Amino acid sequence: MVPLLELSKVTKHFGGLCAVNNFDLKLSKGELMGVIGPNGAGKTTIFNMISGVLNITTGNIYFKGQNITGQKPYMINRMGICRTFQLRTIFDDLTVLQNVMLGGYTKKGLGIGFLSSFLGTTKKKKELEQSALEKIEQVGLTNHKDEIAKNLPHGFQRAMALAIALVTEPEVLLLDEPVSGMTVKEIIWMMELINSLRADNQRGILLIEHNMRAVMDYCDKISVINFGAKIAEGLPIEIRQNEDVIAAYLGGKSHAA
Amino acid sequence: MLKNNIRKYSILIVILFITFTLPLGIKNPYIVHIFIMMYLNIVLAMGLTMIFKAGALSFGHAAYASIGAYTSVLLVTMLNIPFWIAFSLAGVVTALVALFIGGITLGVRGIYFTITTFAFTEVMKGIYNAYLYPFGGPGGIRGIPNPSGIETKEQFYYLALIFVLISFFIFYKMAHSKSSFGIICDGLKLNELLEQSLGINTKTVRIFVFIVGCTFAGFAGSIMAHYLRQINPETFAIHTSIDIIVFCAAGGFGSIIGAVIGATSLTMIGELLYGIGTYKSLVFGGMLILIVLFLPEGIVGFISRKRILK
Repeated sequence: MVPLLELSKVTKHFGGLCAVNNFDLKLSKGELMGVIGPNGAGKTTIFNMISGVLNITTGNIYFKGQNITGQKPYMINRMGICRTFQLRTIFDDLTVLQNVMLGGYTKKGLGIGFLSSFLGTTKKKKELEQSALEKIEQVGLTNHKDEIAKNLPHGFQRAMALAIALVTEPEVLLLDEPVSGMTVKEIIWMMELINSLRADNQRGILLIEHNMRAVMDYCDKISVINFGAKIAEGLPIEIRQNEDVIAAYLGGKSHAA
Repeated sequence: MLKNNIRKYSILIVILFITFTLPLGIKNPYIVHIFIMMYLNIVLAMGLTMIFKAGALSFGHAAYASIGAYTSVLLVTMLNIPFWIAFSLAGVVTALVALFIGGITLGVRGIYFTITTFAFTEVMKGIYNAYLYPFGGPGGIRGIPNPSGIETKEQFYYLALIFVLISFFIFYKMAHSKSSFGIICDGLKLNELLEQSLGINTKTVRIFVFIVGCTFAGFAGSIMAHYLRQINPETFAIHTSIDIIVFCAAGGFGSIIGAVIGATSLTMIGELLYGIGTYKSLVFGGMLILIVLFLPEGIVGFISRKRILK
């Protein structure tokens, strides 16, 4: 079976620095996969390459078997890959509902034919609003839908960022540290929510996270990178016992080697 | 909600009534002249506001007005083309120039884009000055014939009025916070990277907005040139661009209603200052500084904040 998302020997150089080296990855439908590694290991760079923000030096990225290397970010999204960002990345001065609706203009044909969006296509807009409200409910923000986004507490803003991504109805969801800066209770709630997003087995989720418990408890498979190269991949239990991984995180002999 | 709508529409009807009957009541040609200039300034300010709403500050708005003006004047005087066709072609030419220049310069962001617009304005002025044929050099083009059917001030008044109403309708629709396009523009300014990752081709949106804003400036320039019956490189130079920016800043940057209020009030003030001649720029410059310091959100922002506090 063709994997949903496949990275094949992806390499990224920033001048003389090799940020990501020969990285391979396969993500299937219904899978929740974690990407972990120390700070500066190249995790976000991988996301930036998949989502088209950064060009790839060498290697290829395939989405459902189709080569999507070098596509523009907005094209990547239209194909069905949506990402969230590491820091709070939202439309500050818009309301929650407007924020989430912005994610859906393309899907409803209001973004591509943006001419139609100001000539007024009321029916499509109603549909979009409906689907935005569903996603807002899904992330538990119904009571806050008319609030200005920047006034929301941090946890709610992260939940809203997820709703914005969901309204684009992605087949691949790339989540960049979705639980950073959250309380323990919020983390559990957020991870349960993320876990539920693959329930229909149609979506693959790739998750970058520093919170080990979140990753270990929920991911099916974990890929560990350090200095831009993959050092381990496997089930959470295998990763926990992998010596290279322990060395990378705690420092040890193999780290120096 | 309904009460609000009734109030909104009644204000609109009163404004329409006053503006449409104005030349019937007021026979003073000077006042009619002020209103014509005011309407054209409103269009220029609305176009610039729209461009700003999509995240770009342009100092080149007057240059696009000059392109529209020179295009239609040259078509009429040299090729004897009827005004309406020349007027339409002025819009087309301005749009094409905006597409070409915007396509190149909108790739750079923020202050760097603004600098390119500065340069463009100066380049256009240099071109008009340098070429006696066809632009008339520093003296410009004089004795532009009146368009057939639009000879009196009153007729020009109605032309400008209808033009400003159509433009207002289009810009208001585009910028409205409830229209999809308005929200796309707001989002573009707030976070372009996020918007791209949501499948919106932000570059096309930016260029499209830039073209629309500039095209209406071209139309306004064309009407102004035929109305004033003369044009020279100084008619639409950098000081005109700055005037337009002051209009927008005074009303409230990013708001179409603000552009209308700013252009209306400052055109009036500008005419009151007519006696002091070149010192007008000094007063406008000083006002810009005061507005930025004390009314950073302009008149519209000031009013809406008062309303919230109440």
